[in-house]
Amino acid sequence: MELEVKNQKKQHRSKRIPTVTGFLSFIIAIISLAGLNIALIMDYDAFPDFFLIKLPLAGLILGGIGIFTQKRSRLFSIWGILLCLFIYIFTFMMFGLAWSINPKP
Amino acid sequence: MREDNKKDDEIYQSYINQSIQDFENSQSIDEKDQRSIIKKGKFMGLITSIMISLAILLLIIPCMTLGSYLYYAIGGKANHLIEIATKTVYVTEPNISLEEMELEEHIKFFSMDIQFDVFKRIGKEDYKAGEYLIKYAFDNPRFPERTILLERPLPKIASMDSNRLYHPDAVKPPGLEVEWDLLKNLPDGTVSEVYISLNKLMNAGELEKQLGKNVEVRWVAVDTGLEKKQTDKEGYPIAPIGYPLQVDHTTWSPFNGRDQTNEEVFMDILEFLRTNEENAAKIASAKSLALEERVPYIEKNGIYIYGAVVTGPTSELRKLQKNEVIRTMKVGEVKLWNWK
Repeated sequence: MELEVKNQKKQHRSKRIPTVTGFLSFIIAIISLAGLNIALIMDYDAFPDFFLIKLPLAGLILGGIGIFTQKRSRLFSIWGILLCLFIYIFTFMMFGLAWSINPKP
Repeated sequence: MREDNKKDDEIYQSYINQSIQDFENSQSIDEKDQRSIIKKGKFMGLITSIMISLAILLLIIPCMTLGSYLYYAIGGKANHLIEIATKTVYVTEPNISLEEMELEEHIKFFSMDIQFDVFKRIGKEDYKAGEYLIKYAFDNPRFPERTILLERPLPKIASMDSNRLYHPDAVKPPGLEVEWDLLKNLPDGTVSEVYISLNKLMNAGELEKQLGKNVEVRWVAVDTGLEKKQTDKEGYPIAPIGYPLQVDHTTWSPFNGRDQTNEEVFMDILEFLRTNEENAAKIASAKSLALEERVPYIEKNGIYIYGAVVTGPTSELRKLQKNEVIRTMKVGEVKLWNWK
């Protein structure tokens, strides 16, 4: 019984510490979002593929690794994955919507 | 009995003490470590709060942008607004055409700007007449910002008088003969654009026959029943409406002559603008379009014209003074010879 109590405590304690990969995923997602914000505010003509494709891809991979890591908090991984997915959905939808407005070659 | 109870109490107490001791022994973390854990926990909580707040803040602009695009794209709202703007220009501005291919739209937070160049045909060439910028807040346009590049631009607020297109039954203001003198003094090696008013209502084809092949009728002003008094029923001044007479071979022009004649396209445009009159009236330089009164009149009486914008060599345009059907004339733009 005593052992069980000890194990539970240890597990509980470690679950509060997020995975390193999840943390990195979240940080990358935030950097991508910041890049996207800058591109939108500055009204860039060029497509910022580094912030919209490459970084979110890295964030997704790290988040994916983070979410399968046992005994650690997955909160940051989930946030990282959701934000990276949002960036992809945003990019995809913006292409579709911009194409449908005034669609002249 | 009492002794038994006392014994039970002692056993119970010893169990409790034993358990407390066991519990205390099981706490392998000393106080220092506990403080460190709390500190770490606080730090992680702070980092988590900061990062989540930052993420939410950074989501605001992309979400607003996406929302704006969804607003303008769903149901083709932006395309509908662009269509109203371009078609209004074709039917309310004499001898003005536009390159719809070159039209640019810019979507901001629940607002949209559309920008396009307008052209005038003088002689045989199209000259850039200006740049239009129309700003929309949601679907409400502001008064267009026009950058006019013409030497003799029309006034910002159009009316029958400013366009010098007079209905045969309307009063003709004095002093318009000066315009013929102006045309006479222009050199022969030029081409000009003139606004002519007719002595009677006629068909567009009839007018073309009357004027001959040496000049080109670009735009005709159509009688809509209000031109005589020059105001709508509420007393607001109206401006001419009409349509380009020549087929426009530009790909996206509604007057490209592929499926319908220009007259049919003109009627379709009027019907379209009638359902969006509030929006079209803001884009048109006229105070009022009064399409609710004008469209049924044209449908009932047919398309008859009372004025036109004509272009050609200045020497040929001078000869129009002798033409009986022409009541008044106003010179528009003049360019170097390009009549091929």
